[in-house]
Amino acid sequence: MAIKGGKTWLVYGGLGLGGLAAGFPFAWMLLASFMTRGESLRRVFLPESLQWGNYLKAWQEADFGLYFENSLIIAVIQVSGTLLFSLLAAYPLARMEFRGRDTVFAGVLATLMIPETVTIVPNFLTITWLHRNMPFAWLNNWPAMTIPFMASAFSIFLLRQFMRGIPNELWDSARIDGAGHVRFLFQILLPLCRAPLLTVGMFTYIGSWNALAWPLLVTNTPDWRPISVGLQQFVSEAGAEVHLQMAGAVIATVPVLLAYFLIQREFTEGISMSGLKG
Amino acid sequence: MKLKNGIAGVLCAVLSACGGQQETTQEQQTDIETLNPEGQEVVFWYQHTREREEALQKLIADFNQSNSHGISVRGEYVGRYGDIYNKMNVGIQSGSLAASLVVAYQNQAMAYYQADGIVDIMPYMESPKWGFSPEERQDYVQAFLRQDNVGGAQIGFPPNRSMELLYYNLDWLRELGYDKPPANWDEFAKMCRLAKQRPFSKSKDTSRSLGFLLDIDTSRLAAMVFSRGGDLVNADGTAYLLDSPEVRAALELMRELLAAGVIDVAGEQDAELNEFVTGQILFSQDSSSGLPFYKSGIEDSGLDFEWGVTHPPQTGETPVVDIYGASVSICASTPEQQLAAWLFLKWLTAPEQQARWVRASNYFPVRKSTAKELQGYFAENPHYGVAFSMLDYGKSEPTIASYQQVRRLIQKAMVEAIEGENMDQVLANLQLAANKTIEQ
Repeated sequence: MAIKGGKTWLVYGGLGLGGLAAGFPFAWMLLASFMTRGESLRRVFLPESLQWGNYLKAWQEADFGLYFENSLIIAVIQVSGTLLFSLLAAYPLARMEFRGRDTVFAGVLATLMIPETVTIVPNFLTITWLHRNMPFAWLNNWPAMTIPFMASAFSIFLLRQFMRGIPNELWDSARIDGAGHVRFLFQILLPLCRAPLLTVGMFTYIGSWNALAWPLLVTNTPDWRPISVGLQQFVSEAGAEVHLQMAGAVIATVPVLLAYFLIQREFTEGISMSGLKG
Repeated sequence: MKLKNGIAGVLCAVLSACGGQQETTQEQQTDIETLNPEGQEVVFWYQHTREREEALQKLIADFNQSNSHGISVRGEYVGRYGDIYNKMNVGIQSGSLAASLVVAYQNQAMAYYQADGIVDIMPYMESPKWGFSPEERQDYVQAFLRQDNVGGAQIGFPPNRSMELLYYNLDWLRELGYDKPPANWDEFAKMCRLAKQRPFSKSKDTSRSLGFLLDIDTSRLAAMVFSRGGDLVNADGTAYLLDSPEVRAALELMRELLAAGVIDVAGEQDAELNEFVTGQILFSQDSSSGLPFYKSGIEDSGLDFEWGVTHPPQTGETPVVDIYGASVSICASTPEQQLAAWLFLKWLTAPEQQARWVRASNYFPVRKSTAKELQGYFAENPHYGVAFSMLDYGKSEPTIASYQQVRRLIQKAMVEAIEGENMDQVLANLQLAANKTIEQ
């Protein structure tokens, strides 16, 4: 009994330490965002008085209003597109029998092995071609920021794994009631896929919110640039203003944290039910 | 006979090619004279943010309003140097380069030039109609222009420059028994040892008291090597020279001081600035563009101590300082657009605009006559004035296209050297790997 109790404490102690290590950077970011520049330079841990003005200054100086709005619009478009295309791609790979299905799936999985940097030039070439040949602008516009990322191999894999676990009896019953694949997918399967869909949505949202290199590549003006570009502006060439940078970082982090807290349960469920958990 | 004919043929081909080149240059020159830049749009990609960007945008607006050709310049922030480099490379590879002017370090410009992404600026500089008068040309700090000149081609044009400086805490030096900064590296080492023993009286955290923080950065090492009379490349700039007595001496001193615990390695961005302004380190080696940040940092830290700047310690009589800075290159586009880009660049580096840019950015101007317009600024910013007076001692880092890659190799070698690995091995490997990048 004593050994079991000791083990529990050991587990809790280890988890507590892990939690502390994970939480410390956040705590420091929050505290530093309320400091004066002098306090951040002296590396004190607690600010003497809370400098709420840092947030206002950060918001105004980096034009966060515009970047925030851009990030939200980009995230909404990208998440919607990714969910739709991943769902439509995952369904046949999980539930339909056709020749070459496993080869197609292996091909989708293989794209996960290609480093992102390798795909930058071909992606940019495609976008440039589309920009020249399509009736609407791709560069400096939302299509370049969102469409290339709507076909996500990881999301397809995650949804496919989940869909494979759904009993065949459901499909049989649906067929008896006269449903085809489209109806089965959208009326029966979709409500059951809530957890993995939210997980896919969350991953896409985080990826879109944090993107920096690609947006800088396909935009030349702030019109469609995301919040990460605004944050980068605080790192000037000859010295960072850490207190403002951290205030900006808090502003940029809050929407992601909020979204995570809102769907925390489904997120964990989605991960565990799609076989990603070890 | 066949061989002789073959050789003669090759020679003829080479000579005719040379002749062709001359003709092309002449043709290009003539073309430039007859070009009309009227109504051209110029896109300028830069890395400046906040105050510097505001000042640059104001300058651009003034140019757009005042130029007699109706040229319209649009300045665009496209990220930091690395982001710009990626954007340029992708743009060149895809044939869809959207910029007409781009900020680039010399080695980056060299890579663009080799990929036909930018053009030689020399014909514009020498154009009787659009170029400089002999007096104007002489007004530029020639060493700055040379930094961007590779084999006669002007691959960039400097709008400003920065310098590697030694920042020192004068109050602390006085407490240690000195009244001026170290003249040579031995004195520097001695002062660092003393700083470890006797923390600065105004420091709020005396548990950490060091002589110096070594930033693992190639420019830091380059300045140390230059100050010892060395260089990172051979005399004609065609091969790296990294297994040299000067590189060895610089790294050995750092290793020795680090082992003695009197200096430390900068573990985060701007660590040397932060620790200097809070009185924890006696010296900081940093860019002159950081001067306003050091000034405001010392004010904000509340320590209010007397400080100064000078060149890094020297071994010779005359100081040598590392002068660097990104230049602006003209991207390959239509001849009219290239000319329009040049006219803006020329206007931007005129003394009046230079003085405005210096005030906003704290960079050094590239034209000597700007000094006349900056007398008030020197009085307000004495440290800037001190640094400005050292411009004549400038020396630049390599302009070899692979230097960006070699910078990373040097930084890796710096870490290996100070961590105590075999110095002979480290430097030999570095030399080999660096020169391999040229072959590649």
